[in-house]
Amino acid sequence: MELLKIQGLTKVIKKKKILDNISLTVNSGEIVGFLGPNGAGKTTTIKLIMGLFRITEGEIKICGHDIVADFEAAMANVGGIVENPDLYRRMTGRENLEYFASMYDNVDKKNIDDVVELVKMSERIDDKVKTYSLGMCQRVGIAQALLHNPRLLVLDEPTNGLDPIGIKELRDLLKYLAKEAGVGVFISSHLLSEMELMCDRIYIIDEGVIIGEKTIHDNGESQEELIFEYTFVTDDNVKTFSYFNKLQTNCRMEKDGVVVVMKRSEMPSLIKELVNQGIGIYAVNQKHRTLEQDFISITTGSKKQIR
Amino acid sequence: MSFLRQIKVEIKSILKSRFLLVIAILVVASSAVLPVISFIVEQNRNRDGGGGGIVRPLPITAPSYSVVDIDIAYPEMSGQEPIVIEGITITSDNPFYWHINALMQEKDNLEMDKGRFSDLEVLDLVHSLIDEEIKYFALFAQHITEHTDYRIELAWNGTQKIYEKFIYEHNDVSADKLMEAVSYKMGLDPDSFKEKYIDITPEQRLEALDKLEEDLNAINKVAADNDFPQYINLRIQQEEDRIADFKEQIAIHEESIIQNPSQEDSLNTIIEELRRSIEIIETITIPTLQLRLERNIIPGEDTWENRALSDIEINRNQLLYTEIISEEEFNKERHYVLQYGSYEKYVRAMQAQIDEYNTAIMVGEKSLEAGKPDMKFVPKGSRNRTVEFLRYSIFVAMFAVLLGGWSIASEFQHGTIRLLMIRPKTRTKILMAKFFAALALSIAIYILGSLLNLIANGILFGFSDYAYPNYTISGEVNFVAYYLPKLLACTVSIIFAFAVAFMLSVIIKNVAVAVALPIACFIGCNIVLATFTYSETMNWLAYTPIPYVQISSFFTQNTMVRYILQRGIPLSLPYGIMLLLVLSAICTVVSVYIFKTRDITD
Repeated sequence: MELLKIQGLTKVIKKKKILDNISLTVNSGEIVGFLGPNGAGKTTTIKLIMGLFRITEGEIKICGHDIVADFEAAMANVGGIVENPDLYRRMTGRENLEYFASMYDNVDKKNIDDVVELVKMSERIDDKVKTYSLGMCQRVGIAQALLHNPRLLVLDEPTNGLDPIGIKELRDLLKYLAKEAGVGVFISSHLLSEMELMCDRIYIIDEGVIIGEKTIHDNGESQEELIFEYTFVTDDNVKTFSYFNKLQTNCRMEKDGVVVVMKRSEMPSLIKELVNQGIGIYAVNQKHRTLEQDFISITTGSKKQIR
Repeated sequence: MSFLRQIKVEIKSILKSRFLLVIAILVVASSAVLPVISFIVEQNRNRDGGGGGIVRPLPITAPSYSVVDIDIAYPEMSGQEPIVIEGITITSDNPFYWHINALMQEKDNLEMDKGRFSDLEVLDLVHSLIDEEIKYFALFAQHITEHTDYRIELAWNGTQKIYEKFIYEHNDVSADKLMEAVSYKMGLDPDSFKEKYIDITPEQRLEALDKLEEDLNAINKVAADNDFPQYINLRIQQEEDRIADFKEQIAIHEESIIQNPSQEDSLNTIIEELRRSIEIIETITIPTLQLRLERNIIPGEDTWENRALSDIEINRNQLLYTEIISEEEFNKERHYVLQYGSYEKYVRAMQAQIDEYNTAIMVGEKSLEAGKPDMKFVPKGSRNRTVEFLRYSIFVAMFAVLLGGWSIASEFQHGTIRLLMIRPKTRTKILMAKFFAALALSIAIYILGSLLNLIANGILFGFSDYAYPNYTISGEVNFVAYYLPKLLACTVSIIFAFAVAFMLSVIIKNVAVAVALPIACFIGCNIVLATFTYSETMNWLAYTPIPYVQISSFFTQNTMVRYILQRGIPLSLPYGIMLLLVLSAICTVVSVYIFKTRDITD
């Protein structure tokens, strides 16, 4: 079931097209990533979904309710965080939640206790928000998004400020909500590695246009199809370089070895071939991918997969 | 229903801010603290005796009309030796002490200044004349110890009779010496002196002496027995004597017109003035004295009846001197033309003035008739204090500006607006909930503060004052009915200030600017008002909101608006209230429109 459906969405701010004809969907039980560099239009899209921005063109439907024509019904089904979770600093965490709860018809004290328990804030929830760290604000932010058991969750870079354990917990929580409760999750990030660990699908946005969509079946398979930068440290770098050069791959000599950019799945056979040629390999380092490389790999990858 | 609940939630959320909560409590508390402060201050002032260090012996000028509504502070003299005259001890706080003291000094001084008299016998005469006077005042001093005693006035009026009696009694002295001696104390014209005191038969002299004796006895009797009805009779007699005197003067002047027609104009003016004086005595002074007798209103006492009576007297006097001149005459008077601009405006201003006098007279008469004072005659009563406290609305309006300016702008500044606007409530609903929450809070604080002030005034200055009615052209109104509409009218100022600040909060999204700008505008309005109070510009300013931003100034004393109204500028309170309400509504509509259509960005 389509929980979020965006069609032909365009947003113009001060005569500048921030979003250009974007369409995407989020289904029930699905975690959808929204990937893009800073300024690509991620937050703008999310603000449009959450009703903070007015739509220039196109339409957004949440659970079948148009957010312009039927704002209240649409918003009753969605919870989320936009940009930072800025809570009322003069109140305690619980007072914040109570304040937001007052705007829904179906939220009671029990719901508040439950979500506080869920984000593990029971100990500090009655302290003033002033005293919270960014991570704690983020946890309360997630709590307020879940307050009314929404069918769709829209999260804008929710891992900001969370420690690694917190990130892991959030990941598990979202997976649990998606698989067990059938919640649809739309989550933006500029870190692909993070997305890959939990998303079923990823949309990539750049300069206001969706430039790719990638379905991730499981982590292993997707890794194989991705392109990484490998540094070969051998006993004969010159020979190694000339070998790769002959294969017409993207390669260069650097002071600590030969750097090659290629698909992960091609590596085992290549190494075997090098060994056969009598080159001694001390080490092959797979470099952590930069965002730029993520885009390169994703876009090229997705182009191959989608016709 | 859910909207009202939402307003409740918003009010709670506002009060979670410790800063605003503290200010709100301070604003409310100040309303009860201010009466306590003025109570303590006034208590202290009374204990001081109110001298304030000013040394003022006696109110020397004998008042011919008892205008009592003046708060004279008499010095409390300590360390001065009491004077003893014929067994009567006069202490330094006696109202006659300083006069008697001065007379005795005068005697000593004359010893040193013998040369000014032609003969030592004259000096002796002056001495005994002063002795007579001292004796006369000592008698009063014996019975009268309060500075506010009505009989003091009587004492002053009797001195002339002392001098006359002295002249008649000393018919054995040569007329020239007698005249020289007496003219030291009273102004004399040699011809009339001879005519009146010297060239008379012994029978006439005895008769005059008897009459003086009788008068002085009557005065002394009033002084000794505190005989108020007798006092009134004497006063009426005095006034009737004055009328007779004026009539005589008129006859003389009329005669000289016949003899000397060239002076007709100036003499006519004098005659007219005299006739008016007679009219004042006949229609104002004597009836007032009769009223005093009737209702036993003793002059000099600091009572509301005296205030009401003197208010009636003053306003009747004013009314007699106020007349609307014809258009021709008006155009001849250059300064009138400059002051009023046009004849029409002049007539309007004068008519307003006359109406004011008539209303004042009516209020005074009604109060005396019912025996229940209007609040204007109880200036330090609870009612006046409570009405003056309507000014408090401006204080609360500033608080409302703070709330309004803070309300939306702070959400933007702290970014909390992004977590707020993703709720299943339309923007209009959220904005209106915040609007009415902050407005309701401001008005609640105003009403609560005013109520607290009313009660505090009652406790400190007496609840009984609230029980008296006020008098208006349309009739008697009890204090609640008088006060409540004014209180509500003043909330309009709060609503307007709030609506402006709230709109700026939505548009500018900066708390400091949204709060500072309305306050600056308010100060600006006051400056404009002060600058143009007496200028022609005021005529069109009367149609702008500027004179109306502080509605309480229509009800409280000594405000710019009161001065403007006195000039006959058509400031209309109902118009002002409507204007402010309409402008408030426009501000609110603009706020909603902008908030609804604009993207939520910080």
